[in-house]
Amino acid sequence: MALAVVFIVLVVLPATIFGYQAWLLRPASAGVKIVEIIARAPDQGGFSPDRLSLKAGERVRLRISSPDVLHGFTIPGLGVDVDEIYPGKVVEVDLTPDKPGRYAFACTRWCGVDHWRMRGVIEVAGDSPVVVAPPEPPLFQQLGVDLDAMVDEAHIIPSVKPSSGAGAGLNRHYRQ
Amino acid sequence: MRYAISEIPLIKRVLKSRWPQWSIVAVMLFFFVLAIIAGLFGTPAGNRNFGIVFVWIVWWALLILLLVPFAGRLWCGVCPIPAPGEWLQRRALVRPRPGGKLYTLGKKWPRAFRNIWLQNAGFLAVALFSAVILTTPIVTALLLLGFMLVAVGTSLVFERRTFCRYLCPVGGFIGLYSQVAPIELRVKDPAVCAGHKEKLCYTGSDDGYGCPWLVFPGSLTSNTYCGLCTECLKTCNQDNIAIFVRRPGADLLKTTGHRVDEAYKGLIMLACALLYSAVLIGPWGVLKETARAVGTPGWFVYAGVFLALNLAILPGLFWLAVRSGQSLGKPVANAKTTTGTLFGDYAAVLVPLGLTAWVAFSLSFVLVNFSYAWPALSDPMGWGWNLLGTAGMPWTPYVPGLVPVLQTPVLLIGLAVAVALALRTARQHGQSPRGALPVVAFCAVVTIGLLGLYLA
Repeated sequence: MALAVVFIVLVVLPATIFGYQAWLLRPASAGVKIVEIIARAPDQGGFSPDRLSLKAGERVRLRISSPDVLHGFTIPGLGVDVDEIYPGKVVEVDLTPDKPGRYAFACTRWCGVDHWRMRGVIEVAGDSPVVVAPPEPPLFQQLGVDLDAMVDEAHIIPSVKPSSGAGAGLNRHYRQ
Repeated sequence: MRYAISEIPLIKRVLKSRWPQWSIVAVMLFFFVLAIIAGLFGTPAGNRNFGIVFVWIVWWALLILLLVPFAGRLWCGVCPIPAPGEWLQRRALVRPRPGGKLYTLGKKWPRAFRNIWLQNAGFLAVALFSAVILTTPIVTALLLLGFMLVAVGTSLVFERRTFCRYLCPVGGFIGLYSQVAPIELRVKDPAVCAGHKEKLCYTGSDDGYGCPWLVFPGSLTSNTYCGLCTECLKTCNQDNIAIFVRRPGADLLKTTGHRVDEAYKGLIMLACALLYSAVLIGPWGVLKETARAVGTPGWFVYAGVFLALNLAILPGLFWLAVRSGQSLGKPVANAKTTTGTLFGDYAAVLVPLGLTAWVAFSLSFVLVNFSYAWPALSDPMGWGWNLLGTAGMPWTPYVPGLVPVLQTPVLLIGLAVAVALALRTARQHGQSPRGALPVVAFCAVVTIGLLGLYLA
């Protein structure tokens, strides 16, 4: 019996932990595509992944977590708004994008000097042609504020391109 | 004035049987493995990670607030760290092999290290990096895993529980402060041991192993090196070993056998209590940031100050106090005592002073942070689980206003006991009470410093 106890502690316990997590995240068989998004401070990489590819009509569960500071999460084009993602807590958001298109998501809680660059893109593919009205430009665009010309430079410049790259791509779309 | 609690029939049955203690060790091992897995694979957010919350808040609180002051080295008797190595060494989990045989290279620990200097160094190393260890799950996990691997390695190479006796950083201070506890494991009648040729308590028998702590129970006079594993209690065929309830702090009244390594342990623990109070819970955020910024120039300055305070400044001040007292308290009798002897003897004051300092320090963060335990039970990995329905319980500081109300009397009790010990030491060496004044002043300054940090 002692050997069984030791086996439970050293083998069954780890297996149960990872097995349970795998069961929780089981994909399409549950009819829902589960996507894990980790939100880190912008100087640590921002959203990971910062680019998602979904299908129109697909049921999706976003599991968003943060390992460092408080973040927020919004997808204005899909009506998603999560006020707070506390470090160590997992927030789940269920959504079903109906229309193909490109939808930006962004952090809505001040998380560092590069908070404004903490954004990503969801590309929803579908059979119907993309008929998406261009979204309203963000406020800093409307006000004509050039973020890159701001005096307060970030004191840490990440060597790995943060998710703001996706946001910068959206900016170029607006300027066309 | 002591009572043999292990003579109560139910308690005796429990202690003589191997299963109760082994079961507790197995449960501890379960939580230990869970802490390591959570640290390695769980969320990096410390307050939502089982490894951080249950090791540095829950276990630490139980250890320093309850187990050590009231039960001495009881934790060592159920600690999971040496367990796997010991099972491999014994090639048995519960029932002992015939004759208490061990399957190990059985090398003796080098004589030069048969002291607690390595434990002092180990504790200092952990304390130096504690700002990172206590807040970073993966670092905690690697540390715990490292302890266990070292324990396994030493079990296979060296005799018995060499890791526990000479290496474990935690055991170093548990042993020192266990002198305060109101329980002890001792022989009932030393004459029985003197007449007993086999000394099964040390050599082992079919009923149990020889003392894993390399201690001869017949000559135990202090809790410091007895790990309360109760192996001797199971092995002794003379029924001459018992666990006694006794007057608290009885070990501190001994007049001989004080060692420099133990004195340094007391000084290191006191210095670390002071530093932790200033760095981790003090009002100077820059200190905490610097302590976490390992490898930066600022951190090297912090490390230098940290080590200097532990190894030179505080010991130097204590030595000065002892030396000054030696001049002030001219011996009533014409006895000559060296400063070194006085240093070791007066170091007894560091035990109540240091233990109460650690109790006061621990109270400040345990009551405030204990509520993190409930979410950590439901979601140990920080993966979004809710096993027990408590994952959403918010952080709630428990009676924060009560903390200084508890800390103050604790510190004052430590000071009072330290002063009494100092005066007693002066008397033992034939000094006038004035001889104890500098050491008393040392204790008072430390206490006032801590009170200032906690109450200001």
